[in-house]
Amino acid sequence: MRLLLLPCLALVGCDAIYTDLRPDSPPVDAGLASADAAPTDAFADAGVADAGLDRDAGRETDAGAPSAITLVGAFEGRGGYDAAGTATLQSTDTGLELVFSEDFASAAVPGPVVVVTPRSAIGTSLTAADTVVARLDSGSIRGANRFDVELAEPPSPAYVFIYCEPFGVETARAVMEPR
Amino acid sequence: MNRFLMALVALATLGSSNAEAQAWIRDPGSAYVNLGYRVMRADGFYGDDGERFDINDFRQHTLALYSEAGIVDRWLMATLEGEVFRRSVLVDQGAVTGFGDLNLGLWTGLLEAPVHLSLGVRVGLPTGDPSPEADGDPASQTVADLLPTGDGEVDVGLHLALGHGFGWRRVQQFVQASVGYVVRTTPRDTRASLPPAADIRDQLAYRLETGIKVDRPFFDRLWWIARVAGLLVVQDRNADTSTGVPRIAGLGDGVEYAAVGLELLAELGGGFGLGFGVDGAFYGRNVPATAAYKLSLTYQRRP
Repeated sequence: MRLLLLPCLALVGCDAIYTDLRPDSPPVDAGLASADAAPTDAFADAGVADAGLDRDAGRETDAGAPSAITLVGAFEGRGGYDAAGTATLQSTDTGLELVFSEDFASAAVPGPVVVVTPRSAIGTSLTAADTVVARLDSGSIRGANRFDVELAEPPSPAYVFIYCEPFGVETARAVMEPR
Repeated sequence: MNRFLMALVALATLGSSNAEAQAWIRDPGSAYVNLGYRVMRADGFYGDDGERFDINDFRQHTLALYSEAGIVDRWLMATLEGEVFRRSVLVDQGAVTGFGDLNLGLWTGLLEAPVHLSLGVRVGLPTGDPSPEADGDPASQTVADLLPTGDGEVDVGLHLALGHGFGWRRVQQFVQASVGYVVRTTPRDTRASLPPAADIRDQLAYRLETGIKVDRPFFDRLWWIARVAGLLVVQDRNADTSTGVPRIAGLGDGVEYAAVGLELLAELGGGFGLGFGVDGAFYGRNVPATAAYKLSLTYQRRP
């Protein structure tokens, strides 16, 4: 028994070793696979327009009611994923809404949800500070979309995340700033 | 009795750090060691609400050690169990390899007839790494945060194990049931990017199993075993489940499962044994949704 204990105790407290398994040439839209290429490159094959702040972010953005608050942010990939497009958070007569531009695209992770939060990083689990706006299915991880947000006003600061809830992975983030 | 005992201990330690076969207290000088390799490949995950999500490849390899030694006839037996190797892989993203958590246990016999009943205290030690360091790349660190090798906390469990062995015609059979209340505490270390560490909620661990062996040439070396085992959160079930410990690796707060398992154990002679088994959960929360395959080598020393 002592012989068994010794090697075990010798290892106690050892730090774990991390190994990066991201491929050098990541596949496009590889789900949980990493994609280090620029968002524009990664989504070019999917017919997605260039990333970045899009002033013509979508029909809903332009057609919305006069907004008391309008925050805009460009999606950037997180955790090795690619993302493209723009998020617009604006108040309307009926409340707060979140609009994705037509060139929005995010990685096809298993359980992506849209999260509005004042936290700059979600980490591996959601908290009470985070507002889950919607769950994205495979047909809504690209293209324009509009969501009602159950908040009276945007958090300050404001971030919009695409977040893989089952795995607790951030796949995209937009830092929301006044237009 | 020794054959029953060997089979019971072996089945309980194949691939799992939860050895729940201590109804029989070992004699002084008797010892048992089990080294089990366990592998799973998951394409699904049970979320916090029990809903199953499809996921991309997640793989986990563990090498689990279980050992026990009789100290005082009938009254005291010590156990040591834990994962001496744990590798969790998010395919094409990253992997974490390290030492897992250990459990120390002391068991005492309460009854020897008409059934065996024992009471045990098990202490879980945070020897694994709850917050693995990546290579400095924030993207890598996000992945590393998901794959701890330990839960980062000390826990204490009080367990009861009930066992009975009997024969009918040319068949030997055993039945064992165990239940334990595990008091969980607060993880000691989490990443700054994660929510603050909170108490992991207490759990109920349970196990019911039976095995048979046929007294025929060749078959009298084989035990065929079936079981149901699981973990259930019993404290503040509706509480906020946010915790500092990532959930993907099956560690941390809110982990529940109910699984069925089948195993085949072969006695090789000279005290050695070989086992193969498969377990699969039909209900889970915060655990990968997949079957786990196990291969184990056992050795028993008798006084």
